[in-house]
Amino acid sequence: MSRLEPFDRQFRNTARGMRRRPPTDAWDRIEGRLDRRTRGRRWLGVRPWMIAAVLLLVAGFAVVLSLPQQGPGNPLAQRAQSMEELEPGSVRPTSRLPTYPPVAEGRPDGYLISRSEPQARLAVAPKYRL
Amino acid sequence: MIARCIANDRRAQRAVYEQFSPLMSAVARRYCRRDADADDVLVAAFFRVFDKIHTFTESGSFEGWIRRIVVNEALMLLRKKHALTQASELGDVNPSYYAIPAVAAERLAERDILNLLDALPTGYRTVFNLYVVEGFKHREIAELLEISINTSKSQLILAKKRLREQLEKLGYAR
Repeated sequence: MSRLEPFDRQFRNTARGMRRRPPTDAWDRIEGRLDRRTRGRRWLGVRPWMIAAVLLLVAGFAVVLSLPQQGPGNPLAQRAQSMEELEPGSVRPTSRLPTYPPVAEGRPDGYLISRSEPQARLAVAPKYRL
Repeated sequence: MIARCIANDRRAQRAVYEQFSPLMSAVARRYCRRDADADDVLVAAFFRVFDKIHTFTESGSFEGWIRRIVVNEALMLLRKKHALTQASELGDVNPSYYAIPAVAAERLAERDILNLLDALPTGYRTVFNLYVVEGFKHREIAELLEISINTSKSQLILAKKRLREQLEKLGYAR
């Protein structure tokens, strides 16, 4: 408290003791504002603990979904899994036939020569010769 | 009572309002020349009181806490109306020259106080109210009103000069 002169002190005491009749509608206006505030909060209806609970649920679901499935599961699910493996692109084509080098050339009399096979095995039977 | 107000008990809030509103209405009126402005300040202040009542600590006076809110609301209204922008600073002035005889205040009636304050420019009235009636220091007033400490002191001296003139006119200071 600052040092007050005698006039200030007297003025202060008188001023602080003053009363004034508030307007008749003041309480209604205050109550109206309080009601609007309450409605607003109720409409939002969101409390911090609610947000925390929702976040926990979402995080829980995410963790469960990301876990690898262990043990014998549903046969249908297993089948679906095996079918997924056979999808195009995921399977390499298997070639059961050995790759033969193409016939290099033939003779005008129909005698075929291969580079890899012995000449005798590729000889055309006499009845088919031209 | 305060606990019930925190729980949003409307009857408790009404009781607090009934108890403190005559005093706080007078506080608001000391800062605002217009009755309508004082009423707006009162409504805004009590709304804030009930909105922030959970922040009130039992260590201080509840009445003082409400009074502080009313004063802040009044200052906000004055700032909104740009009523506090004009502030002048005096040079070397001897405050004792503007001192008012104590005998003048002893005979001062309540209704004259409002008339005297209403006759002061807004800046003078605000500083006078904050310093003399609320008991703020010039440093605190300077922070509240965003003015320099010297300006706050100057406004107080000028307010007292005007008051002295008014009191002489009313026949109090003779």
